[in-house]
Amino acid sequence: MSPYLEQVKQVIAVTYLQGNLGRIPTDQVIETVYRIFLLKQKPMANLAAYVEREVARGKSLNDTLSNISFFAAVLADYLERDGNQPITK
Amino acid sequence: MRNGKTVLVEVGTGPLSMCFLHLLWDRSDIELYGFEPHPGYFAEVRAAAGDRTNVHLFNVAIGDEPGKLKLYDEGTSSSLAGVSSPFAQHRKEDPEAKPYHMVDVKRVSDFDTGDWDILRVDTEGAEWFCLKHLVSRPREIVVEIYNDLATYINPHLWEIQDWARREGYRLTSIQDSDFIYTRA
Repeated sequence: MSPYLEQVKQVIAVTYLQGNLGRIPTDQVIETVYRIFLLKQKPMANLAAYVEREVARGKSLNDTLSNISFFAAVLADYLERDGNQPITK
Repeated sequence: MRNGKTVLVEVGTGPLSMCFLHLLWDRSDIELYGFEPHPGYFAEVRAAAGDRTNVHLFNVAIGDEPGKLKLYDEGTSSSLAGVSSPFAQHRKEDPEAKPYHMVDVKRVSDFDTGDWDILRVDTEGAEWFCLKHLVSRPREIVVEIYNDLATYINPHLWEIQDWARREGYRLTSIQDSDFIYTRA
C-alpha cells in the first residue's frame, strides 16, 4: 500500500466538503464522502500510487495532491452514475 | 485569429467519427488544422475533407523531438513509444507486443504560426509535448487528462498544470476525461 493513501483520502474528503457544504445537505455530503471511501478504494489506491511516483521524481507533495484533488468531484459523479458499485478493475 | 477567421486546431483527430474538425469545416469563418499520425485515420479524415481550402491536415505525430517513432496500434487508443499512455496504464500491457506503424514526429512549433485560437489535444499521454513547444496562447485549450477509474492519469499532469498557471490559464471545466483551460 502506498504511504500516501491517507493523504489522498484527506485531500479528496476536504475538496468534496469544501465544494459542497452549504450547497447540499450536510448529511448528504458526509454520506457521499463515506461512500467514496467505501466503494472507490481501487481509484484511491491508483491515486496514491500516482502521488508516490510524482514525489519520487522530485515533484512537490502539496502540489501533486492539489493536482489530483479534482478527482473528488469525478468520483462522486461516478458514484451517482454507476449505482454505487464497488470498482474492482 | 487570422484575417478575421478563428483558427481551431485538433492535435490527434482520430478517425472521422471522433474528429471534431469535420463538424465545423463547412464554416467559412473558421480555419482548421488537424494532426493525426495513424495512417488509416488520417486517410479517412483527409478523404472526407476533400478540397476544402480552410482545412489543413498533417499526417504526423506532435512530439518532443523531431524524428520517427513507433505508434503502437490500439485503434483509437494508439500511442507513441515511450509514452505512459491510457492504454498502457489501464491495461498494464507491454506495448512492444502490439503491432505498430513508424510515424513522423514533428514539434508543434513547426506548424504553429502564433495565431491559434482554440486547441484540442488528445494524443494518448503525449499532450505535454504539444503544450511545451506551443507558440500560440489559444484562448481555450482542451487536454485529455484522466479516466473515471483513476487507472489513467496524464503522465505529465504536473507539468501541464504548472505550465497553465505560469501562462495565465484558468482551469474552467473538468469533464469527459478532459481539462478545459481558458486564458485569463
